[in-house]
Amino acid sequence: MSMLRSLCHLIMVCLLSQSQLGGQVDLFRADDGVVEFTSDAPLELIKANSKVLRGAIDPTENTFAFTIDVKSFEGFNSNLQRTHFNENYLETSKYPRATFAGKIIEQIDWDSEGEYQLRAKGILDIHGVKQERIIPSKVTLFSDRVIIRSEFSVALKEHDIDIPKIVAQKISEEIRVGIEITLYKQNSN
Amino acid sequence: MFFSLQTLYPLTNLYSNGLINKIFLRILLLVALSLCIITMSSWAQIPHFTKVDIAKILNTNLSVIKQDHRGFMWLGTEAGLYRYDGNDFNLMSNGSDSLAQFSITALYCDSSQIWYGCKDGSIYYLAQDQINHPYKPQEGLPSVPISGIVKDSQGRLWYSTYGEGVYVQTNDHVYNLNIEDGLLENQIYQMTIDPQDRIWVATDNGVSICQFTEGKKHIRNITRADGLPDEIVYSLCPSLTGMWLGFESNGFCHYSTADDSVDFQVENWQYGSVRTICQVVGNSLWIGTEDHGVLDCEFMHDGSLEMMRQIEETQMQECELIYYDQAGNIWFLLDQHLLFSGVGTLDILHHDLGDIQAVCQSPDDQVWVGTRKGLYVLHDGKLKYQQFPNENIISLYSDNNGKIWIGTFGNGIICWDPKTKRSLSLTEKEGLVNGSVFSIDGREDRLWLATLGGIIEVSNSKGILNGTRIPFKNLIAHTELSSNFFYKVYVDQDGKVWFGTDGQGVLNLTDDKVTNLLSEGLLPAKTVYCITEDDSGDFWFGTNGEGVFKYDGESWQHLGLEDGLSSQTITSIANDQSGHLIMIHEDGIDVYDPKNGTFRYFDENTGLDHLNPGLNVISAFDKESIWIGGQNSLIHYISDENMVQTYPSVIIDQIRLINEPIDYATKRKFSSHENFIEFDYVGIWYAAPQSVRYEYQLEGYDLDWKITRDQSISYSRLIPGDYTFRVRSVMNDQPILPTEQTYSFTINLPFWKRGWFLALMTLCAGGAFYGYQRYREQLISKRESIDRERIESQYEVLKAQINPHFLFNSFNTLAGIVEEDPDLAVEYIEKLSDYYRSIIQFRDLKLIPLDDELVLIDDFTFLLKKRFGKNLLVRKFIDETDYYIPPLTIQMLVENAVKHNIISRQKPLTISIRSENDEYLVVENNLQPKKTQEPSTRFGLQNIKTRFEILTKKKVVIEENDQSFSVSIPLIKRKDIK
Repeated sequence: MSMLRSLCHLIMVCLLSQSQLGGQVDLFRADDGVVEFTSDAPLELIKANSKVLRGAIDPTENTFAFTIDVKSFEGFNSNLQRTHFNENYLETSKYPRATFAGKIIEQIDWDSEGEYQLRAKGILDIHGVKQERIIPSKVTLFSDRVIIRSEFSVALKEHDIDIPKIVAQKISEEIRVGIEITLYKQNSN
Repeated sequence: MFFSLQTLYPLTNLYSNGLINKIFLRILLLVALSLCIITMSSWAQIPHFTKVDIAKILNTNLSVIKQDHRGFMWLGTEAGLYRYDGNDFNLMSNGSDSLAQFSITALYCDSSQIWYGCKDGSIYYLAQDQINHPYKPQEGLPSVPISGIVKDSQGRLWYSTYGEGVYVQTNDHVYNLNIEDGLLENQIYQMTIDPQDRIWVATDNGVSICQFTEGKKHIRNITRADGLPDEIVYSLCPSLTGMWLGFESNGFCHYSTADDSVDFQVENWQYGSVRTICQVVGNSLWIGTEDHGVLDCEFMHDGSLEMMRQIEETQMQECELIYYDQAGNIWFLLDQHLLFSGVGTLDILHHDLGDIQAVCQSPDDQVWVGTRKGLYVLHDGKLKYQQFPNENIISLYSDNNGKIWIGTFGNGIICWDPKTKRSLSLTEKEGLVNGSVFSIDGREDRLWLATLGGIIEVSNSKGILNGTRIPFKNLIAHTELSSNFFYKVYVDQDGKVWFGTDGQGVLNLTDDKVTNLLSEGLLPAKTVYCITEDDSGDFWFGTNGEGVFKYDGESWQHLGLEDGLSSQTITSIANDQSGHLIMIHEDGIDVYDPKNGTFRYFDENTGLDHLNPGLNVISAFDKESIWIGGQNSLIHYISDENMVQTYPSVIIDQIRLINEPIDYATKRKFSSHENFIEFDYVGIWYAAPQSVRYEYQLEGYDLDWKITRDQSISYSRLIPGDYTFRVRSVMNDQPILPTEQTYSFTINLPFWKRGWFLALMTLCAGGAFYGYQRYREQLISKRESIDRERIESQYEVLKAQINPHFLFNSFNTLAGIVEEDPDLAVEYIEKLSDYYRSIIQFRDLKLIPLDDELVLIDDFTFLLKKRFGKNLLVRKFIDETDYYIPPLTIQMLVENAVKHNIISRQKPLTISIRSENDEYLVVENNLQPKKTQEPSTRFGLQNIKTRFEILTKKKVVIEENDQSFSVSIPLIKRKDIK
């Protein structure tokens, strides 16, 4: 696990740091992916989304990294809810980013267009708690871009996100997360 | 690493596209194989087998086999999952739609589910309901073939893949362990779990041992650097102390988990890659190779390899899988289309020497065989002639000086030294009381012989070949027996000597003192053929026709046919290291486990011919490997501590109710029309599936057990009641009681016969009866009140009519007209008398027709009119007269009107009698009450009311206002008369 962790860290640094931009390899990149989450609790349905998902895929290494500014989530049912989300639950000042980075299990030819069902194995870091996850995604390959659609669930207790008992009926223990992102091939140099 | 995938490991063919159809696993052949374990390179032949051609039956190739806890064998093929019960193959996966999807590459059976993984990475499980459930983790499924499935003690599912490493399903997520996590390779050939719950996977770079605890992956690798003789590991097999590893080119080794090192490795391997390893009972190991067939390895107690030999029948073939099942059968999955199954604990060598009459294993591990034509020794898998061609050898004994003592029939005893080839024959001439030596046993340098002339003790046997005088001592003198026939001598651990006699019971010789157990009343056995002492110091005696006796020095126990023994005559007996008793009889071998009271039978079903055994045909010098002689066969029995399954188990496979399968674990109550029930049951006995018989009984229907070969029975039109279906297997015409399976069920009574309904009905009937009684009582009281009212009314009416007033008035009227108009007077008198006659006539009746009442009213009106003239007007408006009324009702109302009202010229009284809506008859008069009211009892009206209440629901309505007074009385129709 620690091996995978350090690998993921490396991937993060490599793929997302600006210094890599002048790079030697073709990457797929995007800064405007959409993340949406849904909490479907018995008493309340909460939805929020963010359009600032950044991501990169290195097809030669089969690695990937995604990150999002947690503060950027909008929606919710009230402003107060959003404040609670940022200050109490996700503690965004302490943990401003959520990330998912790792390796794609399937080996595919990134040059052949088409639709693939891929599984991404990596470390999901939410609220400062790292969890290894395998997340299946639908990947559509074009010559110049790749569209990734994925849905998965995040159990709050796995990421040490404590919900006060008094609102337990209003916030689901499992949050459904959906992402859609189009990454464009970066030309070398 | 790469080249090995393509060139050296044919399993990759299975995974590589386009090669699926390559000739591969065509036929399934089940053979009860007899194979030797020790010191021999080959056997003469395979005696007993069954063949099933799987290509013809299933039209597909077989990849994996596993047995479930019930005994069914599951076959993973390239076209789905099949269940095999020894007779039938049943397709269990719904694999007809997509063959690729159900090309099965891994199988796992737990107590309730069958898991199978496919070539495309999909995984399914078959639950009790026999429905294929796809395994669908939210993390998605692998896209490469599944190479292994296993569950650990925490119930977590592990599956290995060929290309993506290993996955483990925990309660929360599926985790992947691959090369990035430290796994040696992502291509896993085999996966297995050790007793410490660790997952071992075989790869091209060695073995990875995986654990997953508290969200953390632990992977430890064993590679060539750790002492493995080869890096490419194909096969794994857990042992008690570690793991057997099979390699691509350097054979196999054993890795000890205690000291984390290789503690055994095979030298000079010449058999190519090891595809599969299977550890069977004892220290034997089966190795399946890529193109050298199956190898059988036997280990010494110190862990060194005792011998290794190739199984001739599998030579030049690829063995993919070896499986040892619960019943002790060995299954070989051979690439060249064969699957063998056999009894793993029994090997049979066939020969043509006729009856083997004595068997003896000497301390130097030689197996000696005595026949009618001399002495033979087992050498190189064959019986080799040794000595004494003319001797009819009936007993053999190997002493601790390496000499063989040979007892003959009629020619005395021969002492022979195999090393020096020197021999000495001792016959009656040398002082032997009898030349027929049936049994020899000894201790140190003393020997005892059982002969047809008594018991001989030979002391100082050591120097016999050096010319020492042989001190024969005839012990028969010490006894007072009527017969001198002795069959058996046995020296126990304490040095006591036991003798089996012909009809005289068992004799015990302790410190030169002879005790006869039969005459002393200690043991009832009479003719005793064989004796053995078990590890706990109990003695076992096999008899002629009396079964087996166990004697602990004080009391005895009997073992007979009723306990499951195959024959009452046991000619040879021995006990093995597992504490089991091996008993030889005419038709085979019974192995008895005294702890559980269970038997395992070896007979023609397991490949034994008719044994025709002599009295000395068992040698248990090595209690782990026992030699048994028979007619044209020499049998090697290997002690099997587990002796897991000793008879065909029986499984109730399906129960159908009116042709529909039911969940018989829960459903046990049926309604009355659900009375057609079918039972499918299976007896699992792969060694000889055709020989399985069953007996069944439906308690509550069948009066007795019925024996059948069928595996299905149906019952129709069962009447309501409680039933128990019982079925068990039968062997040697004896029911095998522990195999019994039962299913109890109830067919309910139809609802109209059930208690609650009957209770309800009783209640209803009671209620109805009570109601009727009440009604009757009411009716009677009503009648009584009607009668009373009527009598009262009659009385009133009579009283009224005999009222002097009326008579006075009537007579006054009459007096007035009698002179003026005598005719009218006559008519008046007639009417008056009619009136009175009518009253008398009607008064007893309940109801009279309205017509009759109206006639009466006419008469009455006539009489009144004569008195009041035009001052009284009585009008009738009656449409329909088909009604009934109580008698004198209208008369009473008219009379009331006349009685209470002024009738004068100024104030004429008009009484109208009319019918209204066919419902009521209204008697109305204009109201002009007399100032001086005649005394009124109000009886008349009240009487009318009461009478009508009894007769009809409609009420009598009395209306009174300033102008008029009216009484409406209900008209009673003819049909309403109660």
